Amino acid sequence: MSWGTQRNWRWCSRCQGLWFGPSQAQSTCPEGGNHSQTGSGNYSLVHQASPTPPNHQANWRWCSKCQGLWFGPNQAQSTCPEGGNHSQTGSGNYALANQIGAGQVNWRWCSRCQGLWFGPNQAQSTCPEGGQHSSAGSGNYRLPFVTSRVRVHAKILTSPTVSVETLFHNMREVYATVNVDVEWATRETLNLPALNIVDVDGCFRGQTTSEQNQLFSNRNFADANDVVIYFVQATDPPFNGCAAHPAGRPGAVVVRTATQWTFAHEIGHVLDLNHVNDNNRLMTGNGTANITNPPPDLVAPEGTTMHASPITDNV
Amino acid sequence: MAVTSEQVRAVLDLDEPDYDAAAQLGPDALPHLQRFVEGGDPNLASKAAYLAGRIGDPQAAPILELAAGSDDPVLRSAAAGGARHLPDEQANTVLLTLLDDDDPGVRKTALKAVPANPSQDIAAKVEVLREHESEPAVRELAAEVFDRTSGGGAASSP
Repeated sequence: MSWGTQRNWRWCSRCQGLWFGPSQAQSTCPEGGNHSQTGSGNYSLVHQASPTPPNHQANWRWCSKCQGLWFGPNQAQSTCPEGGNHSQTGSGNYALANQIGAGQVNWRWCSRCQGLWFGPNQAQSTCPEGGQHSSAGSGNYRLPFVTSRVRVHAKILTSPTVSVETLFHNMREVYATVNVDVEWATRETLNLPALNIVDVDGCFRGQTTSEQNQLFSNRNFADANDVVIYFVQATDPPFNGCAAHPAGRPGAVVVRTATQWTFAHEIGHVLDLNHVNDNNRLMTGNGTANITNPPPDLVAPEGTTMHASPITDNV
Repeated sequence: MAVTSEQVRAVLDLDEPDYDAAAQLGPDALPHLQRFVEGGDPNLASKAAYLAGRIGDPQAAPILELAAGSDDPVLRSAAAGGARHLPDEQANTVLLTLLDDDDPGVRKTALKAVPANPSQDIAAKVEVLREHESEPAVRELAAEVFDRTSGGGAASSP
């Protein structure tokens, strides 16, 4: 039960399709030659998600022949610009936000070639079937484009009531609105019964207890700037979470009974965000249980702070 | 001015409650806190139990005893944490079952709340934990608490 994200998907300004940027030399554009990434953002896709996140459609595939993204269940109806059908050999299972979600809207499925393409530019599009791509019967797909990322590791002493998958999904949706990608790096179960109720004192930034220091020393697989979240039974005293962490060990604790937004909220603190008095926003200081009109917002200056944090890196 | 349920709820709904400030609501908040402990939301109930103790009034003891009897370790640990702020006599009562808890985290939190002058029953439970606790960190804590409390407290009184 987890999912990953894969960045470096690109929009081709020539055919309007989405394709995998690192393999440009192996790509084939229906316009002829390789796909172009001129003017493209860096798109991040969810892959290998189990279960499929809410409002997402799974079974999109990467074609190892043309490098494009296409809808796998319709392979027999697909057309690859390399000739024949698209291939799913070696592909992960990609899930796209459909109708609802953060990111750039108006990406469309082409019922003719089965590829994904950018709908507003239909007149400039080129379908491998000949002519333009079709949007007939397509949903409205949303692709997050990102400029930085945060890598997050989950260390589970006690599973939270809201599933870890949902917490990551919610965080990804909110962080995508300010172009920050959330990379779920690893998941590990920790058997530390004496730290499952962890003393956090008053949870003051820059101040940690000996128990926090002990807990946060468990950083298997994490690089120096990766965020490690410890899912615990409870804190003493009772908080939903606490982002105070030892220097050089970015992370936070999140308790079993936390809300669906606490996880993203605490990591916001790790990325130097402060509380605000606005219940429409993720960083509300009035309790994430009181968030109105979910998903909550991050505003542009908060995005600037997050991008500037040493915890995020440019992608 | 009377403390309202909404006021109490507002301070407990925070992801990171400011318990120092919340304790200023005083004993008038206790009836509301009791209702939250009796309610079905373990997140709210645990914060309410802890705050009841933090207010430091002897009347909070029954609320913490209620939480201490919960099936949920989140509430029991909150009761243990809250007991740190009760007068010794009430703390001794709340901690009596928590030092025997199945959950090592609850036992650890309860040990931290043992008053300087524990009752004989509490002192005896600390000594048992010092000798037989299965979790090394909790056993070590029990030894520290034993040393701290056995020098002239009720445990060693005739």
